[in-house]
Amino acid sequence: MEILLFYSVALVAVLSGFLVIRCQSPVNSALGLVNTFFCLAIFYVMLHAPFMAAIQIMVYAGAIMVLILFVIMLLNLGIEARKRYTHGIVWSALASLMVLFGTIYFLKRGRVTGAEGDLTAFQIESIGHTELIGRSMFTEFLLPFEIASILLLVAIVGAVVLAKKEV
Amino acid sequence: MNAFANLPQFPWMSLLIMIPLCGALLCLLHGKRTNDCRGLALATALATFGVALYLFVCHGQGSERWLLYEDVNWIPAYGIRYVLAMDGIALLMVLLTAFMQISAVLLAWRVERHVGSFFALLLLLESGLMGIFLAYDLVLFYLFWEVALIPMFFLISVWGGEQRRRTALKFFLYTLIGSLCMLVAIIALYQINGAQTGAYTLVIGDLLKTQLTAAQEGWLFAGFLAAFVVKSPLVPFHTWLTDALTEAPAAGSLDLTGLLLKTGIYGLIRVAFPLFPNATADFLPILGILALVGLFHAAWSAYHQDDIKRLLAYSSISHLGLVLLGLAAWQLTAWEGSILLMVTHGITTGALFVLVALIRERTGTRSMQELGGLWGQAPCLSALFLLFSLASLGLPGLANFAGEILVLLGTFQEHPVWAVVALLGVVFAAAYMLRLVQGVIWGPAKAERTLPDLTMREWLMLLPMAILVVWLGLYPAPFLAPLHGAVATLLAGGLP
Amino acid sequence: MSLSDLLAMLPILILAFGATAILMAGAWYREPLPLLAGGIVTALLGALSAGLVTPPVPEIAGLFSAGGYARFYTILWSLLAAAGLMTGSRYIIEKRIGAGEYVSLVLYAAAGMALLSSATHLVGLFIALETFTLAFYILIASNRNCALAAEAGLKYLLLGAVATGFMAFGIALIYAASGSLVLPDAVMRLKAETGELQAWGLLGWGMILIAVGFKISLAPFHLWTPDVYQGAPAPVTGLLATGSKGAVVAALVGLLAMSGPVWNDLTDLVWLLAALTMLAGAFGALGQSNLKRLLAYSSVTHMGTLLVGVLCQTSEGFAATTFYVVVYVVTSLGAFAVIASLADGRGEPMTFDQWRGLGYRHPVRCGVLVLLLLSLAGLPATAGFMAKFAVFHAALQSGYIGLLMIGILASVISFAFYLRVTMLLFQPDEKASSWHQGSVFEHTVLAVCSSAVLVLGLFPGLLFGLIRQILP
Repeated sequence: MEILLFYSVALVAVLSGFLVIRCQSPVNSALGLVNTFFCLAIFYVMLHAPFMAAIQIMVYAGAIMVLILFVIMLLNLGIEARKRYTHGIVWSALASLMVLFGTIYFLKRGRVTGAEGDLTAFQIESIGHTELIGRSMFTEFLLPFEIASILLLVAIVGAVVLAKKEV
Repeated sequence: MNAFANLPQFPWMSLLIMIPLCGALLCLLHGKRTNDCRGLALATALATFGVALYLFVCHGQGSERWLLYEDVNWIPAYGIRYVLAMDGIALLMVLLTAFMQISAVLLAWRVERHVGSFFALLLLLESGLMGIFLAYDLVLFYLFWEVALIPMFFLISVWGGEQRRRTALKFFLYTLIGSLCMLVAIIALYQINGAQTGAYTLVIGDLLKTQLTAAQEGWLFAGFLAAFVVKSPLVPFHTWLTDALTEAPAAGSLDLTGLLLKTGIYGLIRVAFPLFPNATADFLPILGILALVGLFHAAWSAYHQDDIKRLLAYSSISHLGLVLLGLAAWQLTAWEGSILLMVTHGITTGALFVLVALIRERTGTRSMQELGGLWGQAPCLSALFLLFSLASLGLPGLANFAGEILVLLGTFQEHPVWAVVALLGVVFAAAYMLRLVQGVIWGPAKAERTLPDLTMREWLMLLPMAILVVWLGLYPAPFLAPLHGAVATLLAGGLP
Repeated sequence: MSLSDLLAMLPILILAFGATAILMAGAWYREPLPLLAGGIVTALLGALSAGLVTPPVPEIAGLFSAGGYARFYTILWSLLAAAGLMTGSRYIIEKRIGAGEYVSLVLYAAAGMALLSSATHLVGLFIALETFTLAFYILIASNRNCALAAEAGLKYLLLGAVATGFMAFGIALIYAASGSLVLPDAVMRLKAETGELQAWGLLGWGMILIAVGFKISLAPFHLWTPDVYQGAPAPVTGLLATGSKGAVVAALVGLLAMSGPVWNDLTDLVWLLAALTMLAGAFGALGQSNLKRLLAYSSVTHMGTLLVGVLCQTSEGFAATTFYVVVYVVTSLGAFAVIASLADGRGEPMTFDQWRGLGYRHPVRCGVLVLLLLSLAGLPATAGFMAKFAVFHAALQSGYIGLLMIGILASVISFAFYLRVTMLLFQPDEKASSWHQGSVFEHTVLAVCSSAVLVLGLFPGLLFGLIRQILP
């Protein structure tokens, strides 16, 4: 049952990801992206991480995508703004499929049942998912958390540098 | 190991390399002041020659051991050492280099464009050549091998004739492919030796003891051969030389034919033959035959040239064929003859290239169809031209004769057939040389010209060469003396 | 995080806090020179602290190493940032780019590169990689009046995003297979259960390799390189070509050197990548008529050669690779600094027509360029030769004779195109115009780079000795 759910959601995720890059209208692309984020949120739930799912929906699908949609609509990009590039699509699709099958065949040789991480489903249930995230983020992964803040700062600076008017 | 290794001694050999290098740097820094550059270059060349001459006077008697040996640890991580070693052969080559360089500097006196850079490159070339003749560590050898390549490339590509860029690139790529093959072989040999002894080294003397299988030896030998044979040049690989010699500026041609070609043969003697004795033994007959083919092919081509510079280029190849033949005979007399012939060929052909440059300066042409009757117009120049041409074709009593006769005698003892065939080749040499003399000096003058005869500077350039040509022809013994011991050592396996 | 952790992180902290301080200062104070000087001083301080302060702990928070290897690269990238700021000084002043932003971005990038080179944990690896790549997206496109730069920035962004995806997926797969994100540990666990988990772990490594391939432009993933190098301003290209690639290679070497032989099953693949990269770079460069694009292809070839050193997976190979990285960084930075120093109102000299005969107009800088190109080609007496010698030696020691031959072939070809540029520089051309005379900063960088190339070429023993000591 869970497997079936996973595969159907995964299919939807991949298809909507495909829509993002293939849609004519930027609004439709953005909606496709929102859909992908929703699918990811479902995965988080399936992995016993409801907090992450909520964050995913609130931050990405909610805040960021709404902003992006606003920008698209404000700029009023029409359909003609996106040209259709079709060259090589058949070949690249074929090549990707071949690589995919090759990879699957290769993976048939191994199984994923070996080592388990430190956090089992049982532990998550008993301690609480949000608490675990908070703990590891502010103890074990404090440093990457801080580096991520630098990363975000760089991104903000970049946005300002690239977008501001000439002084 | 070596008896000299621990003795503190004055680094004469490093001096030979460093003086031209410093001169080159100074010339580069004073590029704006043209006259200073000329003087500086001449002073550097003279100083180097002074050192070389001093060494020749001190060590002219020769020895079976090293005459000089310098050894400094250079890159310990890879066992690379700064080892310079000099035996009789190296001594003679060093002396030749220093001597020719003076003429080259004097010849370059009239260069107009970028004088500082020109002299800097010329001196850098000298430094590289000295290094090639003295290095006894393979990486050091390879370093100087390439260092000598770069200045020549620039000399041709910036100051050369019409086709300079194409020619320079051809010259560089030909020799580069060869030398990269050598690099592979060097690394492989280093690897094999290191795996056997546990101590990684690149000093040729230590590498001599490497145990190699027949296949390994063959491949490694081929790698070294690729570099040396292209530079020498053995016949199928010679096409770069005629172009390069023709297009290079006068001083460049002089260095190229007089010195740079010798590095290939010197590499064979110093590096390839001693390191791979078994492969060498298999290769010698092929070398002999190729040398003979080269001798004839080049002589034949020389006979059909109209451009006198090109004719001299082919004559160089032909002479070097004889040198290689002497080496292929693997016999003491023949080897001594070969090495002596290298020296005398350097001087005679070098002098001829100088004269061609002078003729070109005066008449504006190098075509035999437009030249002729020079005797009446510039007698001193013509007389010298005649002298060096006769020396080049091997007239008894002049320089090349001594070397040629030794090569032929030695070869005759081992391979009589080769010697007889080679003798025919020497006759060929007489044919094209006489044609050259006839076309340039004798005959009716093709154009009414008033030619200035030799100036003071040109006399300075040519007179020492002329004296040396006569001296080497009449009494070559002082120049053969240092060779005895060195050649005997090399023929016996190369470990002094 | 304890005090000793912070002390061990001192160089990174100096870089990051210095960058933030300069960013803030730049908001109020718009005079570029003091900000630049502040940035250069910060970078030098970072290098100094990495060199002088002995970290009390061997590892920072279990994520980044604080050992000699990490400190070595921290010094290198800090110095690189200083050099990058020096070469970029005229660019930001003339193009009126906010000095505070530019300087801080370069310093953040240096911090990111330093962190990446010292990563021992896959999370640290990932986040450090993202930090400096993000800074580069912006630096590349920083000149907003130039359409080529915008295009370059976008291309780098898109392909960087693809690479990020592969990297994340690869890390996830390795975690799935081994249950650990700490690298030596993860590899150990992968190897402990031979057969069972190999496939997933290997796929993870393959994905990471693809990401690395995008970042350091290995052959099938190298197509962005010439466009981005051409579009980006030369001072940024100098950093991009050296730091962003060198840091990734350094991380790779550090991880592999700590983890023992990981790639045994991927050897054929990496072999192929290295061979393809060397040849693609060499042949690609042959047809170029633009110096920046040519240098891009040359960097592709060099990455292939570096991969040969990494592939050996011996201490010899890692030492050679590290040496090669240093030499490549110095040489390539110098070459781009020459281009940057010549740039004036017309932009940078790029096409061969613009370079023709320039050797007579600017003899010193063109002479330096020739020296650097010859070093890139691997001529003896320059550092490039010793680097190639070391890598080829390591390759032969590990038995990769085929790769050695391909490397030599690529060298021959690359000699041809480097020489073409050299000849071009000294081709008499009346139309050759004078370019900018260059600032003191730029001349300093050039002097340092060219003397480093010569010193490393003639006396490589010093650096080799150091590298032997610091390799993990």
